[in-house]
Amino acid sequence: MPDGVTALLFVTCLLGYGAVTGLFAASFSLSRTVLPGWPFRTLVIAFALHSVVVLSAMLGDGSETGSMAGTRIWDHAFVTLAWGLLAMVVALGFWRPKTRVLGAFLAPVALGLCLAAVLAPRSGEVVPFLPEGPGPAWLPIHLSANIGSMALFALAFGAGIAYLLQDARLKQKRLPGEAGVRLPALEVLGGLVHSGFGAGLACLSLVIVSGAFLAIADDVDGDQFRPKVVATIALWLLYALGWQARHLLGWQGRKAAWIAILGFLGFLALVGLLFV
Amino acid sequence: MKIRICGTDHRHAQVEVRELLALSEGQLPGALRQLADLDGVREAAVLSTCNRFELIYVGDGICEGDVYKLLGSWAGVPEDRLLPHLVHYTGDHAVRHLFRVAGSLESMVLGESQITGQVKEAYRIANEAGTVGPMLHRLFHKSFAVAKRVRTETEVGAATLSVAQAAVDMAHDIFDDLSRHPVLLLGAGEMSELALRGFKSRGAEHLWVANRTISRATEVATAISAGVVPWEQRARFLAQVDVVLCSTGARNSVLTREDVVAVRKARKGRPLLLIDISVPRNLDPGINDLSGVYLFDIDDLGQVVQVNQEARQREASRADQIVEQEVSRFERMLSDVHLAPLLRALHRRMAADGAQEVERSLRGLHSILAKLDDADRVSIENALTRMSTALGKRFLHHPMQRLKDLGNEGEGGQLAEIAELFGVGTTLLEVPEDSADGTREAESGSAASGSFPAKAVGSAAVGDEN
Repeated sequence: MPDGVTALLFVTCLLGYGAVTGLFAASFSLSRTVLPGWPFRTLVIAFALHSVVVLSAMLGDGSETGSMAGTRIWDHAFVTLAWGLLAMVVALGFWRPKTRVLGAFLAPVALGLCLAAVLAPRSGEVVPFLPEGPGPAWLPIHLSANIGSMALFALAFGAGIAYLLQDARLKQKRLPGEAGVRLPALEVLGGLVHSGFGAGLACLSLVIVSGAFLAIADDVDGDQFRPKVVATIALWLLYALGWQARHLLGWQGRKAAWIAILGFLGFLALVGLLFV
Repeated sequence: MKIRICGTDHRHAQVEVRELLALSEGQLPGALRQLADLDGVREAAVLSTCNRFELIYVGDGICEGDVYKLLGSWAGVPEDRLLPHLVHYTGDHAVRHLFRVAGSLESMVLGESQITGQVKEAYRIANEAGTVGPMLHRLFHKSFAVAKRVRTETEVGAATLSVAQAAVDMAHDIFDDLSRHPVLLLGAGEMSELALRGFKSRGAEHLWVANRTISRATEVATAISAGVVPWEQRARFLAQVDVVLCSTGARNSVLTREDVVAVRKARKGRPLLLIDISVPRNLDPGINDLSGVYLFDIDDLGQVVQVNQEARQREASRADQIVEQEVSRFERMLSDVHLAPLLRALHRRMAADGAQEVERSLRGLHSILAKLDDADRVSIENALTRMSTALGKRFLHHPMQRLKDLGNEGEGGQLAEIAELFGVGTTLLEVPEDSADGTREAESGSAASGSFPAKAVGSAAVGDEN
């Protein structure tokens, strides 16, 4: 696909995510639903454009595509991470329409990731989604698991925020939909947090294992990767605590929601550490 | 002949009067035959619900007295006793009233959905009996369309208006699927039983009842397929249930904050919803301070109901606009149906007279035309024809406009006079019997008398509006 077309699609996609964020923000601030139905429709359209952009980067030769502001943004892991995150939201939104409101919390995250891919100054070389040439066999698994875990923890993050808002509304006895957005039942949100923990942990475990194999294969210097490894294992422990505490200690609801939020913020910091 | 509605409803009559008028399905055919025999009534149907009894008919003004007498005879009381409660709507007022009824804007519970089905049922029965004529066909079909617009374009029926339903809605903000969450009813009063039935209708499967009097608890539990919990074990049972509905006559708290704290470990963090609809309150308000425990009292639920009611009222004004639009459209449609044959007849009359005069003029010019070649002769003939047509159109333009205005104002008497004036017959002003579907209309100028088509009187169903 020509660079100009891809760039146009990407910019339109970013505008779409911005519109979704704006519509939800307007609904919250005006305490009434602004253009009901449109935030999710806009999200789906923007996500479709995003998919075209990511596929174009994956299928292209990686040498010419998508140059913008002097960088090869389409290869940037942030763009692919944002795509994986919203793929989860869109799929869930079609399956359980009540969860579409999660777009209010995750569209801004995706927008931020994409903007970071374009605008943020980078200290190192941009990491391509897939390396040119054959590369190590573990790399695609490592990167895919990374994106998967990020998307699942992001889902838990969005559900966690929604849980805390819904909990606060019920405790303060405010009316349903008074904030301008009708949130799903606590049971649904708590379930999403827990599922996000479980599935995300599985992916993160794969990330750690595949990362170890990659390090051995490349014979890399241990000092270079130590902070990332420590941060990853710390996150793994945090999420494992959140997942198991539900069964062992009855930590569900607010505590799980806070773990989801803190964990994802930590995950974002880790991603920044890895790729920027 | 105008559309008329005569009857009463919950606003104009107490139930003692409404029940006098209510007719059983078995009584309807005979009663409707009597209605059919009244002079001046052409089409009719009956809408009878527990909150409403209305005769919807097409007739002239002289039948009103007979209709009142008939209602009196059906009710078995002198008509004078009914008259203060009866309301009569005529013409566009009747149309507007039926549209509002079908759209649930006249219901006791604004926006309730049953009435639309009851109006449809009324029409269906009357139609099956072959007793609804073209005007009521149009009226009923339009009322269904109005009801649909009101439902789809406004939120007039969207929000919950009962405390029991508000409690269920509140539960749905916490639990997605009520079938997985046991519900405990504390106290076996009417209100709490109603709320528990609301939970059951929305999917709750595991229901429990606890009451000081075990026999009453068993009675309620049997009626709704619930289990019985001894009153003394109610606090310990909190470990097993996720929703507690409380409505007892106790003066003190029947569950305290400490009771809930005691079972928190056993609950393993599962959310607990407590709904207290007792006055005075029977659940310790401090319970709401506990994490993962949500307590709502009657005022909290009442707030939901009040806000929903206000929302429905706001939506009702939007629904009123829809009704007004549709009343105007319906009136225009009826007017067009009335006028179309007359307008066609006038045009034909003018065209026929014009053609005769052109023919006569051509005969007078025969000697001159004979000297011309064929092309010139045809040109002159065409020019005369065009002039005749144009003159006719010009002549009719103003009367046509005036006729349309009169038709819109429903001044049928003046229309008849105009029809007579032009010598095209007055029966053209009646709605053709075979044009109910709007595809065919009576031939213009085909009748000279003022008689109406055969009477068509129908009945409608007896149902429950609420």
